Amino acid sequence: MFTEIKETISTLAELSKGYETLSNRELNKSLDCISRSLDNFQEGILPNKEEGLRREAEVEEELEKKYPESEGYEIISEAYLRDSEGKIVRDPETGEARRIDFVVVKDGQVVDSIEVTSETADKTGQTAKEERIREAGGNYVRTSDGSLAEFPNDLHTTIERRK
Amino acid sequence: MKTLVYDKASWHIDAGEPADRVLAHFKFIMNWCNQNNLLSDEGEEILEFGIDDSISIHSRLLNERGNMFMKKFYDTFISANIENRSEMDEMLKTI
Repeated sequence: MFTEIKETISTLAELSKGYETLSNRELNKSLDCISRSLDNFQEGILPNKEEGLRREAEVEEELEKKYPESEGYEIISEAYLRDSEGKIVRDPETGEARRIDFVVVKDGQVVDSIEVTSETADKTGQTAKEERIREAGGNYVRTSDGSLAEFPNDLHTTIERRK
Repeated sequence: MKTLVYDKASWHIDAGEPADRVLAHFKFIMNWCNQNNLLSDEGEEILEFGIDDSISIHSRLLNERGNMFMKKFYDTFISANIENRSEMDEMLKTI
């Protein structure tokens, strides 16, 4: 009898150990999720997005006032440089594309082109890439109706720096 | 309709995050969206071209379900990589 009780206690202890392990594992999984979210804040990932969104919202609001839709302007965001057939053009040096934050179009012509960034970001590489893509024929952007609007030769993207 | 931007590689690279780590995240997100049929034609075009530092994840790249997922969950998975695939799969089931 005494032996049986001892065995039962031992079995229960083993089962309880397993239960604790499983429970901790589940708990760790939940904590991992929270800790990863905290890491995002600590590493600045979410603030980077918030600051980027804020800067662009400011600039977009100013562009909407400067280029009213009622006067025939269209503000296109996230516009890739494309060729006359509408294909995204690769930079011959890096093989990359060039996407511009805001391009303003009127009567099938690009009238302004703006990239928004922080006060300190180095954009020389992006500017040089854009020039190479433009030379390779990337002189168009696609408008909301699917047509292509052309960049005049003398129009280049302005880098708009914000806090 | 205004384009809704969920995230851009340049926001993080310009802020000093390592470009390879940032691009790994964007490549994972775009491929995951493709595998789950969440991309629009424009999204498929960008994925086919290749993900580079010009990538911006925005509403025109996604179909209706893709946009619903991003609106609800993108910030939770803002630094997600392949290790988070199953969690994202689970969240997608709720959409």
